[in-house]
Amino acid sequence: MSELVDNPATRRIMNLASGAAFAGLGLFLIIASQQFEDAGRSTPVFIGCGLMALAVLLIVTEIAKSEFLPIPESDGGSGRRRLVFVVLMAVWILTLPYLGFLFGCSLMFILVAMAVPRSKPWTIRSIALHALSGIITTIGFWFALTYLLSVPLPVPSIF
Amino acid sequence: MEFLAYAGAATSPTILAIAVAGLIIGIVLGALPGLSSTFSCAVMLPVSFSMDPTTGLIFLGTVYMGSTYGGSFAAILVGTPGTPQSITTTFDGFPMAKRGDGGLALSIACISSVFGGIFGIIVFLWLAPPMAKFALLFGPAEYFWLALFGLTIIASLSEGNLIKGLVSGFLGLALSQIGVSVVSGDMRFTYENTALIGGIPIIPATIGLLCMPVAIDLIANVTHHLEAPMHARSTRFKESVAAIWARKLNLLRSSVIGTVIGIIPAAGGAIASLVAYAEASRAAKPDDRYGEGDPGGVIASETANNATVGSGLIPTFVLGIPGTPTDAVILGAMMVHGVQIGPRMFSEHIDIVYTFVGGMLLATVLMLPIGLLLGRYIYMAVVKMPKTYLVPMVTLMLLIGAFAIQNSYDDIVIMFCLGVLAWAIGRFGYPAAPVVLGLLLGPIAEQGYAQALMIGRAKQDVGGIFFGSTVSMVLISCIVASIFLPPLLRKISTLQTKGMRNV
Repeated sequence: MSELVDNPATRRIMNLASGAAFAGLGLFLIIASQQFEDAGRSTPVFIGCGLMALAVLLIVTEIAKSEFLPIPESDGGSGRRRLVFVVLMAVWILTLPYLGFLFGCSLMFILVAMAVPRSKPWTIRSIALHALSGIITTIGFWFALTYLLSVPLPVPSIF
Repeated sequence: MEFLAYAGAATSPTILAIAVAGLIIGIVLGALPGLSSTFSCAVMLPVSFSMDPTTGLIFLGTVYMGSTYGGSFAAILVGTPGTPQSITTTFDGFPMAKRGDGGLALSIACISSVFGGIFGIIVFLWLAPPMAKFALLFGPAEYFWLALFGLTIIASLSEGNLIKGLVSGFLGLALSQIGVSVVSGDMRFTYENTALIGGIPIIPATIGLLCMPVAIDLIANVTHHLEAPMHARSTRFKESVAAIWARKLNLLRSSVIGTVIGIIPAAGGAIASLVAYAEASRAAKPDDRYGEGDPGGVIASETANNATVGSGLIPTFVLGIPGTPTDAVILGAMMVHGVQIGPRMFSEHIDIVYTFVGGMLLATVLMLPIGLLLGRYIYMAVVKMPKTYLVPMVTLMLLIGAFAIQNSYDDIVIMFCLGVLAWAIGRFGYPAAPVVLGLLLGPIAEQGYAQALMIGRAKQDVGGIFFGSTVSMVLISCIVASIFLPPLLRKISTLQTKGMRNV
C-alpha cells in the first residue's frame, strides 16, 4: 500500500461508505449491549458511542474537506489472484478436519503455489518439484510439531 | 564479586552448549509466525526437567531470549510478525527489506536486541528487590491508566490519518468485548458459539490481522518479494553500528521503557515495544521517516522487547508474580525444580539466581554472532526463494501458528476471518495495527476500570482511587502529553519555519 487513490469521487464514496458502516457497528454495539447487566454493559456502550462519534466525524470531515482523508492504493497486481488465494485458503481450512494435516496441507501447498503468478509457464517438471517440496515441507512440520513439540495436528477423518 | 564467583559456573562447556542450543531453538521457533516466546518456552519446558535447576532455567531463559529476537526475522523479511512483541518491527523493518536493506535491518535488530537484553539483565541484577516494590504500586486504577496510555499510541500508528486510526482502535476494543465479561460474567456477542466464549485469542488474531493481508498481497504480483541486496555477502555490521550510534538516545530510551514495562506484571514485550516505538516516532527529527523504513523503528521495537526479558524476571523472582506470560512458564519450571520463589530466594538460592543471571548474560552476548550469522543466511534464503515456494510456505506457517498455541481448529477460522477483515478495511485506508492494540489493551482497561470503580464505591472515594496515587498522576500526565505535545510541537516547528522564512 503506497500510492493514494487519485479519483476524488471514488475516495469520497469509499470514505462515506466505510464511515456509515462503522457508525452502524457502533449503533449495533449500543443496542445489543442493552441485554447485559449494568457492569457488563458500560464498556461496550462506551465503545459503541466512541465508534459512532468517530464515524460521524469521519463522514463530516470527508464532506467538509475531501482532501483530508487519503486512501492508500494497493500495490496493484491481480485482484482475481487475491480472490483465488482467499477461496483456496477457505477451502484449505474447511477441508483440514476431513483431509488431516499431512494430506490436506500437501495438496493445498501445490494448489496455492500454482495460484502464484510466474514468469515461466508451468511444466510437468515444475509442478512435480513444487508437489515434492510441499510434501517434504509438510512432513517436516508434521514431524517437528508432533514428535518434538508434542502438538497434536488434525488427523484425516474421511479415510 | 559474589556474582562473579557464581556466574563463573555458567561458563562451563555444558552450560555454554545448552545456552547456544537454547538460543538457536528460540530463534528458529520465534521466526515462525505466531509461535510466541510463551509457546517456545512452554514446549521446551519438559526438556528442562531433565536438567539440574540452574541449567534448566538457563536453557529456558535462552529459549526466551532467542525467540524474542527470532520474531524479528519474519517481521523484517516477510512483513509478518513472528511474535506479538515484534509487531512494531514490521512497521520499518519490512519497508527496509523491500528496498534491499533487509540485511541491515536484521543486523540492527540483532545488535538492538543484544543491547536491550543486557540492559534488562543488568537492571535485574542491581535493582531486583527495590524495583519489585515499584511493581506493587500498580493497582486496578493504574492498570486502567496504563492501558489508556497504550491506546494513545494509536496516534503514531495511524499512517497520517488519526481519525481512521482511532476507528481501527475502537474496532479492536469492540472485538475485545466478545466472550465472557471479566466484570459481570455476561456472555457478550458470542451468539451461542462456543469458540467465542473465551474471547478472541490474541495470537491467532494478531496473525490474521497483520500477516494475512501481507499473504493476500504477496500472491497478486509477479514481481519479486524483496529487492536483491547490494551487499549480499555482508551482515553490514559497521553500517548497523553507525545507524544505532546515530540513534543512541532512542536505544537508551527504548531500553528504559522495555525494562520499566517488563517489571509491571502482565504488561509484556508487545506493549513495551509499542510504547517504545511510539516514543521514538514522537521524538523523531523532521528527516526521520517512521513507518517507511527508518532504522529507528527497528531499534526501538527490538531493544524494548528484549529488555523486558530480564526485567520481567524481577517480579517473577522477587514476588512470584510473573512479569510477562513467558515468565509464568519459567515460574512453573522453578516450582517443579523445587526452587522457592520470593524475597528469601535472594538469600537461600542466591547460587541459582546468580548462575542463572550469568548464563543469561553470556547467552545474550552469544546472540550477537549467532543472530548475525543466522540472519545473514536466512535473509539470503528468503530473498532468493521464488514466490511459488514462499507464498505456500508462509500460508502453511500462518495456519500452524494459529493452530499450535491452543491446538484449536477454531483459532484457524478466527485467524482467517480477521485476516480477510483486515485486508478489506486496509483497502479503505483503516490500518490493522491499532485493531491489534485495541484487542490487546481492551480487557486490561475494562478490568482495571471496573475493579477501581468497585473499590472506589466501597470506599466512597471514586476520585481518590482514580486520581489519588502518584503513579496514576504520572500516567495521566503521560497520556495528556502523548495527545497534545506532538501537535503542539509541530505547530511550534511550523511557526519557527515561517518566522525563519520571513527573516
